[in-house]
Amino acid sequence: MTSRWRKPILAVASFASVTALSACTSFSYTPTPLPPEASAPQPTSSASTSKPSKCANPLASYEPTGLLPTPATLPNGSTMAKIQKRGRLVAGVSADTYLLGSRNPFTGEIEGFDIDMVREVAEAIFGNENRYQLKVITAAQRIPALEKGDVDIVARNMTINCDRWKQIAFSTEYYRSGQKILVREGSKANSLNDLEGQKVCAPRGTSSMDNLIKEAPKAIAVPADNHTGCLALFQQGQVAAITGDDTVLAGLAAQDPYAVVPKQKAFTDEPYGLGFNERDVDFVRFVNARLDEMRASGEWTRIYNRWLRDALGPAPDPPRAVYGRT
Amino acid sequence: MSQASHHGGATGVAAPPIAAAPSATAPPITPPATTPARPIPAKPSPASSAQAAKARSTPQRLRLLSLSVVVVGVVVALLGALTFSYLAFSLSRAQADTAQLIRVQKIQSNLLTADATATNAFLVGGLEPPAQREVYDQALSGISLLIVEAAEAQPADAAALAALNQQVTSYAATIEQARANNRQGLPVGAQYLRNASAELRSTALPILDNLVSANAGRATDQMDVRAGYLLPAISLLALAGVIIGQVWLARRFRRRINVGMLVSAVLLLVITAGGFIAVQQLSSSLSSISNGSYAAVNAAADARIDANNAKSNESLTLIARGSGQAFEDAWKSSADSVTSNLGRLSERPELTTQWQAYTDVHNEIRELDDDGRWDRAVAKATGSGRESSNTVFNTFDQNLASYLDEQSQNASSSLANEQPAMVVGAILVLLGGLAAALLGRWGVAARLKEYR
Repeated sequence: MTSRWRKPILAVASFASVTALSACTSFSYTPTPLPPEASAPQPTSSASTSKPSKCANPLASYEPTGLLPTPATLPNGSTMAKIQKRGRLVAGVSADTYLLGSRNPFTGEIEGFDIDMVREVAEAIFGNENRYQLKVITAAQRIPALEKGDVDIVARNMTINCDRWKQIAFSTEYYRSGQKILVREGSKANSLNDLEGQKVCAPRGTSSMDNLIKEAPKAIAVPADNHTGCLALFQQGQVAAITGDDTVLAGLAAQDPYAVVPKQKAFTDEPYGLGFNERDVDFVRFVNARLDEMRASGEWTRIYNRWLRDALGPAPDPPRAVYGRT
Repeated sequence: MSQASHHGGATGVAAPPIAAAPSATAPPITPPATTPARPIPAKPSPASSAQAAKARSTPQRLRLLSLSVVVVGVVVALLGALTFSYLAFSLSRAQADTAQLIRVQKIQSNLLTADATATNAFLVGGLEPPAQREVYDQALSGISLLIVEAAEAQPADAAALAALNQQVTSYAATIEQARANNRQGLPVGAQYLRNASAELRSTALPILDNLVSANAGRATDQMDVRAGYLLPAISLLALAGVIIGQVWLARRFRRRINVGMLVSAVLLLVITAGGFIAVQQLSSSLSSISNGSYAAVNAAADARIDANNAKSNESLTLIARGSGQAFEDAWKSSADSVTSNLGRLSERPELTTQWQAYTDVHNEIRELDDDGRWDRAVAKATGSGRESSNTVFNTFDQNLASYLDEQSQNASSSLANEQPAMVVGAILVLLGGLAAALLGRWGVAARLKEYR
């Protein structure tokens, strides 16, 4: 009996053991897998799908009352007096929009056209243009920062429009920008229509991207996180053109001798205003008075020349102040 | 076997039903032409017909028993040698896999060290400090060496390492572009730096994650030695067989003990028990390695990788200057992971203290930056004073790195230490199994002699 069973058991057992051992001892591993290739980013338009609301005249701001008060004669209890008491003006700005507001890597200072506007306001409140503190904010943070009172003023290439008037207040227009294109030197394109079938970059989720998709549906829209990101793609030959506000494009062109903004008509109007908390009407009137002075004295033109003339050509007339908001 | 059946055929005139097994393989009708006729054993004197049938079949059974004992002993010997060699082999692979795991973790932490250094130097301005440049260069050249070493060590990783190499080259090129622009004071330099860092995280780190998890999985698989229990299981069956044979012998020959069979059974018992204990011992010391130095290596490596990732995000937050919330969020999640990994290194509480010191400095930097005192935040982040982020972080990083080295060596030598015992085990079981076979045969031969 035993001898009869011992053999099959042995045969099965040794077969099983050899199989099991050889399975465990496979001599090579399966290759380490590679992560799947990231798919190319799709252009996305800005999140707001609602139609822009209409209002009588978005450019109309609060009219100054009388002459600009001096730092010594600020009305008691006014927003300006409170800022003066604190000792510094807090402004929300950009730090990577070359020529408007960007950090100078050599000095560490943030400087540009927008920053000079902040300096003018500080000068009006303190008699000292250096009494300001900058908070660098993203485009999306502009309105919340004002609503929460984190900043007194926003000077960050911000377009005045009816939607935004519902949440914040604006100064009179201090710069008239418009959307244009930037191309490689030697390119014959001077409008969006000339860029059919070519790759054009705009920042993700901005009105610049919306306009690009709307105005030039045959161009291939390529998104980047911001305009400087577009410049990097442009320098790497991944896009043929960049579209954005002419001021921003000027800042990009200034960083690359082979990037040019050809002579062209802007295909949108982007009136820039300084942003305020909607309750600080006295402050808006005060700043508007200062802007009027700057327009009249030639200070506006001097600031324009300092930052933008080399890139955008001789100074136009300063944008006209429009009042009538009550 | 063939001898037994031939013999059975030659002598098996009218094979009795009991001897069915051998006669089945060799028909009794086979003419004994080639086989020399043998005299029928004369010893069993009571020659009644029934007893004769029994007597004739007994030598066959004895021969079969002898053969079976030999087969069983040889199988156990070979299987035992095979099992222990397999365990030794498995251990050496676990050691190699652990070494490879440590290598790819080192690549990852070097890469993040390079990134943390590059981003930090960027904050200083156009002219980066030579000391930081050197750290960056060293980290990158370390990566090149490690990639080559790793590709040689594990062919299964070669494709992933080749892809990684491409990403590292592209990263280094983008960093150089960032440097060139930054020296000219152009903001696009910061963009190139962000691109390089983002690309590093989106393409190179996932490859490294795969490498880490693949090698960790391999090492863990190799440390699973349960297959080794096959030896005691088989040896136990063999023992049962020998005992049955022994019992049969005892009954058939009325001798209580057959010394050969007994010693053979004892040897098999020793192999069974010894094999079981050896595998169990190995299994428990492997689990103490995998919960001890191996776990420490993984926790420390993860902590170091995440810490450098956090450091790099600290600089990126400052570079983005207000637009850097995403980087600060990334800092927080890396920092949480560092804290939880350090929690596993209970034997080194000072690492947690040092990490805490760095997070304090980081929080101060965030406070300064959020208060608009960016210049002071940057000074704290880039300076080299005692309270600066760099100094405090480096203290932590250096200590963690040396602890990691120590534990890597521990893990490797613990795995190496188990291997000689496996080789000795293989030899002992081989000898023991063969001895069991020979002794069993000798024991049965003594009974078989009685029929000659």
